[in-house]
Amino acid sequence: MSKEHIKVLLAKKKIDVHGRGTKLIARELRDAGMEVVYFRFGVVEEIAEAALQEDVDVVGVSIMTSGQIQIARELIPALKARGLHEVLVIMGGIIPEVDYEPLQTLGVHRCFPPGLPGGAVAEYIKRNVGTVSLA
Amino acid sequence: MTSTAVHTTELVVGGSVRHASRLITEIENGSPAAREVLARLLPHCGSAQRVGITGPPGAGKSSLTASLIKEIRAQGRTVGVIAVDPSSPFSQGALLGDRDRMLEAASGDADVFIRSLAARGAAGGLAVAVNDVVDVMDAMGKDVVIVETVGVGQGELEIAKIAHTVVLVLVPGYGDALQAMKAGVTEIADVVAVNKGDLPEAAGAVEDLRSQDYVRRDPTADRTWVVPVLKVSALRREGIRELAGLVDDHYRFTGDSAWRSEIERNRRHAQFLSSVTERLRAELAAIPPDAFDDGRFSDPHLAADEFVTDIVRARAHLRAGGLATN
Repeated sequence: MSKEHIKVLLAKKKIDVHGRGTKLIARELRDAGMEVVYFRFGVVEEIAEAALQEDVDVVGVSIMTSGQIQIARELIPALKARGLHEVLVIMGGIIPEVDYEPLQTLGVHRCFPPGLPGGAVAEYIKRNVGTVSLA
Repeated sequence: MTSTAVHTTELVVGGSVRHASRLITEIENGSPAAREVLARLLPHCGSAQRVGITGPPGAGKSSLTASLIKEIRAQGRTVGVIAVDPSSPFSQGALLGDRDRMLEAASGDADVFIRSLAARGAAGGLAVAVNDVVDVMDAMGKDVVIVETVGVGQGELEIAKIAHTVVLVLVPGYGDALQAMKAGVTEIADVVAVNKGDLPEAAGAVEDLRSQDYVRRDPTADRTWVVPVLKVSALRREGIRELAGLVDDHYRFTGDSAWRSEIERNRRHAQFLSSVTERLRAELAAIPPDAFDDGRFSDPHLAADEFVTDIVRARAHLRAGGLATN
């Protein structure tokens, strides 16, 4: 499904100073025509609250210093509790491959490893936005 | 459709962020359903104090807004924030970074509603939707609605038609550019805040600006508002309480004469003009070119002139009862 204005919330941990990847993705999505809200979170509830207030189509979480399982465990219910059932949830960064399956079981739609060719994330979002629901 | 509009209206007035947030998206997309809800929200509007924050890129508008949010919350008032960032004219994409700078002020506080908007090509330093989004937050019951413009140069003055009080945020060392700005944005400032007041050049900048003797004339009475120039530091949270106090002083000042109702009327007029423009543009674009001037447009200006004259005449005719019903 394609949408005229896709809005993405791109979140990374506030204490995580490794911001290069997130900024690169932010630019990639902006250049693909998306409206990207970039912000750093302290606790997971802040991601869900921002997604609610900004009415985003996509929530992307950048992971550099682990914690992905716990974040997903809190994030998906927090989104659902706010009625955000159709948000596409993606993660990227330093995530061991063994975590991909448990993350998807928790409700994360897709995990992206580092080193992808430019445009891969934007392409995925364009193809999948508006087609998902949080189980 | 109408029953949905009634329902949505009730939920928004009741303070549902989910429904307000979705409505804002629909307003941004120019949906007809959103217009119906907006019409129903209007009776619930009019109690919010509207504050505009404008200034050049990098002056610290978002950081200062964050400090103001904290101050206003400390007074027990609720806050809505509309933060506008530019859209790319090439990709239509946008990077909305204001929220990040306001996070500390807002996190975990349900009475702060921050919404980032992409300008989507609108001129004037705002997005087309802003005026309507102000109404949504007003109807939700926010006591104060802050509108932060994109980083401005000289000509982005739309905020003056929306806010009760415009705060112009400048930084020390802006002296040279200030010259160029003299005929522009300083003319709409009701309060000037020199941010980054911890820098050594700040005192000089404040003095420079004060010596300009900026005043705003009350169009409805023989009196003037002397624009205060204040040194602040969003970083160190200095001068924020004073700034909030000056914003409130100005709000009260305009309320002491017919100035306030003039401001309200000007805002609704701007909203009317922008609504007419947007809707006509959409309606006209949907009509095939041959419907106008045989589609040849040998003189496009003349064709436009005839078209507009037709519309105005037809309307006058209708108003005079010529075509009575529909």
